[in-house]
Amino acid sequence: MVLPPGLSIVSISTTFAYLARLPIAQQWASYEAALGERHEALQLAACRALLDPRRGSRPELVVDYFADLQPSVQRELLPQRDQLLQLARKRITAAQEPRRLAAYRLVVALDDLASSDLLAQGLADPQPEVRELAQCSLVSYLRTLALEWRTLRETASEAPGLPTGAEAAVWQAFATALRQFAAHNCTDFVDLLAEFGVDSLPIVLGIVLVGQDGGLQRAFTRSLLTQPTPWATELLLAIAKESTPATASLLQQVFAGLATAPLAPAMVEQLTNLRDPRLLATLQSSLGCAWWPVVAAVAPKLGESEAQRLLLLLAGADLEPVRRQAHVEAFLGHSAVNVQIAAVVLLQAMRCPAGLGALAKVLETAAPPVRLAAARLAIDLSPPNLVTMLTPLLGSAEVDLRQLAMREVSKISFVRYLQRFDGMDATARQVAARALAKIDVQMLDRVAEEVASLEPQRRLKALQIVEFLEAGQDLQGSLLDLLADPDPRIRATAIRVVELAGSVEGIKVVLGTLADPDRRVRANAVEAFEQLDDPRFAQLLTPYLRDRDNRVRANAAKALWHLGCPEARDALVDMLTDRDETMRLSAVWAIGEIQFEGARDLLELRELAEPSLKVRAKIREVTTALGARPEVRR
Amino acid sequence: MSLEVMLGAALVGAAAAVVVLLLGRGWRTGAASRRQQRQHDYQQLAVANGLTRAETKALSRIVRAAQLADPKLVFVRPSLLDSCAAPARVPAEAVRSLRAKLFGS
Repeated sequence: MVLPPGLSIVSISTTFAYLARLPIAQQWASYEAALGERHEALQLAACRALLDPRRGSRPELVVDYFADLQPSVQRELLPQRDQLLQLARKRITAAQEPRRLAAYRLVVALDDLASSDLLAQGLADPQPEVRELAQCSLVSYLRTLALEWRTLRETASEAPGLPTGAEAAVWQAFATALRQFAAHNCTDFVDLLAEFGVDSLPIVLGIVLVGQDGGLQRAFTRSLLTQPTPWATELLLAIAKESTPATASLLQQVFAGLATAPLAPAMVEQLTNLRDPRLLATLQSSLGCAWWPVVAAVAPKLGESEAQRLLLLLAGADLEPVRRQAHVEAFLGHSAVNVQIAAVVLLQAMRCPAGLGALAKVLETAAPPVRLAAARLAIDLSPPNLVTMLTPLLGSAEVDLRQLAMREVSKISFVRYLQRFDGMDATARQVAARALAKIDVQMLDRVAEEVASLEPQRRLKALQIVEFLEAGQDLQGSLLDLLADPDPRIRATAIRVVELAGSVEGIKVVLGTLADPDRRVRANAVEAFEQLDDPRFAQLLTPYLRDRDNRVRANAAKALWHLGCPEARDALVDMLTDRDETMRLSAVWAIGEIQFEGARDLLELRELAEPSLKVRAKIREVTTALGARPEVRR
Repeated sequence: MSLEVMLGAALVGAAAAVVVLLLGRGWRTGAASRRQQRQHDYQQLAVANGLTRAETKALSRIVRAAQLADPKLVFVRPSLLDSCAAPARVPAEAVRSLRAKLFGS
């Protein structure tokens, strides 16, 4: 024993040596008096005397005073620890022992975890001081144990498991304390359940939920609602995994409370911060049913990172698709733009099995980046009402958003225009095409795509649209390919549409089509050269004045006339007297087109000799037209 | 009541009185003996601890002020030097001296 400076143990030894010579019964009073003094040397000397079998041994007096002994004296007595504990246990377990408080104090002072059962027994002691001491001490032991448990948990991914050794006695006492809850009503024990996380589950299932103690169950519910710790969350998850009527009832109360509890966001944050894969799996499996009311209630209030993590959990949760979508859509109302975007991205990955109803509001009211993401999602999934959904964005102040909406709406409109094309008359087609071109800056690109289509019908349709838009010059590259199209109708139309000016390549292609076996192609080729209005091409066209096809010959004459070749007139005059009726009809048409001087007289003269009713009717039509306008040509 | 009976009763009463007297005397004798023994123990402890006569007297005053039935208990109760020195009118110097001799501090 280390003595304080200046302490003379000589005097005390002298006193105790004298006392030792007295009759034993006379010694005890002095020793007991010494124990009550705050004096290390005195206390120690008294203890040694009382524990000395040669002096009759009164260890129970040491038990009585042990808790009040100086710490150094208590340490000196540790070799007698078992003896003293045994005495204390005997005193505590003896019925009606009035001095059991001192025994309890010794148990506590010696910090003997193995004697926790005695403390549990003390919880129901009739003496208030004993109850209070047992309660405080046991709670203290359990808190220490919980702290160690949590430290272990933080360094290991798995739960440490139930305590062993002396700590097992504390755990047993914990269970006893909860069984006796009605007697002490100490909610500290109930709160401690959550501090041991999943390891408390056996006690919860075996004691809290099994007994008829409604107070205990209410206390446990309240405890879960007020402890937003990872361990409480873990325990709640573990309970949720058990599907018994008792756990279901408990969870119902907890979830009902959590939905409105101020700590619910913190609890859900804990949920999202779980790292243990096993617990995460549990959470994901129960997310859809048990947890969702809580999560949904607080989802908009969660922190950004927590909300993002919860979305990830939702993405991996084993949920029915429609339900999962509903859960994800709850995050569209979150205040953070990134969370909203993440929700939209997740919805896109899910392909929105429940429809895009929730997106309509987002497209109208959300921040521009979210609206953009939502618009892309809508475009990707292309619902029937896509135009309606995107229409609000056409007036957006955001350029990206506006252009995206414009492009998609135009694209859909163009597709619809193509679908209805065959049902419209020529005028309607032209009006619609020009109207579309006004709002759709990419219309020519779309037309070009159609021009490159594999379906002849689509290519032909596209050519006609080019014609309506007078966009031959813009799409010259695409159209030149069509001059060699395998479909003669397309070749013919392409020649008619294409603007050859400035395109040597185009001229070569059209020259080739002058020998096309299809008469319509040849005729259109000739007409194309006429549009060039270049006298150098007259020589190329002259041979076509003798083409066997009436349309080719008439077009060649018309083109050559416009290119300044007077022999075109002669060719038409010859055609007027051709034996072939179609030749004569085409000649009348061409004369009406170029209206050279004396054309009317020529036609009227021919009418007199013309045997064909059809040709005569055409002559009358042309001359009537000529009569309506002045004959002003070369 | 016959004379014999009366005499018998008187004898029994006398015997009882004698017994009571003897017992009372013995008790008083035992108590005195214990007092004497305690006083003796006190004196022996004072000597053993090297107290002067004045210190022994001062300590006796503390014993009386503390109303200790057994004066030797003062040798194992240093707290009495604090609590009873003033009522016992023991000077502080004497208290310090007693403390040093009896308890080493």
